[in-house]
Amino acid sequence: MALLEVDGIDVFYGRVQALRKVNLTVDEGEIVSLIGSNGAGKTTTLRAISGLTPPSSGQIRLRGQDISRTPAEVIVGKGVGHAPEGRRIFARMTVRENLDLGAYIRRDGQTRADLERVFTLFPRLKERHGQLAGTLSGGEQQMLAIGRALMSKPQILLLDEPSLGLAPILVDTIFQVIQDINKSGTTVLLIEQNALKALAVAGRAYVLETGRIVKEGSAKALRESPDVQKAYLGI
Amino acid sequence: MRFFVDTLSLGITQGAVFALIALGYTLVYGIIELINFAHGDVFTIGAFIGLNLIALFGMQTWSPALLVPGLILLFAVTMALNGLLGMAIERVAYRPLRNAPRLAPLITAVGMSFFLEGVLYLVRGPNQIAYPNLFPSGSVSLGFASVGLTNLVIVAVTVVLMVGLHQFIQRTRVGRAMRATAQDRDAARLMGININRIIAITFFIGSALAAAGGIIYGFYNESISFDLGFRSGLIAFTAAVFGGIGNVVGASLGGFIIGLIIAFSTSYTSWGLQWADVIVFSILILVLVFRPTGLLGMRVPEK
Repeated sequence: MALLEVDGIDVFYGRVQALRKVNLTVDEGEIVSLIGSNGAGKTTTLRAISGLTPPSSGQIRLRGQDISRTPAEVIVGKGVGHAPEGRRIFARMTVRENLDLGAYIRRDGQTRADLERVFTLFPRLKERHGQLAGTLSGGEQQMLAIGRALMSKPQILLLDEPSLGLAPILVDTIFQVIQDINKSGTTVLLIEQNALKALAVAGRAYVLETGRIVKEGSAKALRESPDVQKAYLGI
Repeated sequence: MRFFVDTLSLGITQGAVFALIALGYTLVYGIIELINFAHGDVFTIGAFIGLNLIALFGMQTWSPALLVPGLILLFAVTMALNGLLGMAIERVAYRPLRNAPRLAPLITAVGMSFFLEGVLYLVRGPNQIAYPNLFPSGSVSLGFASVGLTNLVIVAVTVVLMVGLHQFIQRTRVGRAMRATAQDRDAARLMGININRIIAITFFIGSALAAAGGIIYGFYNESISFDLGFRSGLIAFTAAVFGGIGNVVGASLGGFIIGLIIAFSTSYTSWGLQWADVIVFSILILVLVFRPTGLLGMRVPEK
């Protein structure tokens, strides 16, 4: 059974349809990427999965269990961590408080180890743990958003444009960390405009255009596809 | 000197009540950006709940030894009951409008205010109702002046509640969830925070603090009436805006400052209490024009 199955979902914002019959699956241990241009529906897909924007029809299943109507605050407890678009960190709280909030649902008392893990992945956050999150640089805020999502100990991590607005050197760091996170057992569903980078780390990928999945396959096959090269890789 | 100290003491004591009400405005505004116009009347109801409990248990005749634990219980029970009332109001009047345009809950809040005031009028009538002061009377002499014991106890109780609130918001898991909800509701949900529960808790706390203010008002002024919350509520709202709406420390500070302004403007001029209101609301207008974020309402730059 796939870890995550998105089964023919439609999502509306008011009267505007953002997603049309979107299907995708993510198996345990994978890095799957969702690429597409601005407004294609990538963010909406993640918001539907994490429960912020529930689908009007279709089903989203986590290990076979339907979560399409489950509220966002419950879904996180089922193992879905979401580092949302625009980072959405709590600017007027310290780095440490942000990370503690990431572990809000945890009742196992093991959060200390996860905090250490986040600090190992992102040493910058350890240095700045007492600083207000709003005063961090863009890259540091992105690290915090990912670290915060990891604190819930997710089975699947949803990442929305982690490289957006970052200096090239930081982009490499972030992608390295994403691979590290995946190697330590967390499945990743990654949205990127930087399709080249996304296809380099992902095993499989989906291409989203105006709310529909238009192409899917192994990252390698997509990298070599003339359509994808022309539209997203700038080749 | 004696006159100055008397005025100071009056201002701080009245300011304590405004501050306790202002906290409710600021907490609710901070979390759902609603000016809860019914809050002043929730304060009045808190005063009446306290009065009913005092009468029910005949607390005026209790011996001093019993009175201390009795007063603590009186505050706790009144605050809890009023807190539940605040939660109920949120549940029936505001939650159904959570995703409506912002004007809708605002108008509903004004309507709820009229409704509560109407109910109070029907139940307790239009007259002033006597309120016993169960705090110690008498005064402490400072040599050049003296300060009422009641005033001192009022300030002590208020400070304890404020520090308690501040610690709760800063140090506890629920307090952290409240701050997260105030800053970014979607992000808070992604952390697993149940927004509806946090909003309900916020209304509970705000209404409980208003109840404490209500009892204190009753003790100090020794009478209350059904429409008490109208003026007190507006002044406390001014205090909350003055301090920076959404800011808990600001609301406390704003309450005391407004209390002092009213006390000094009535004691040191011959204008009388009517003019005090003019001054207070002029301050509200000036703050809104020149510093809409209030004294302490500053924002951290968000990148």
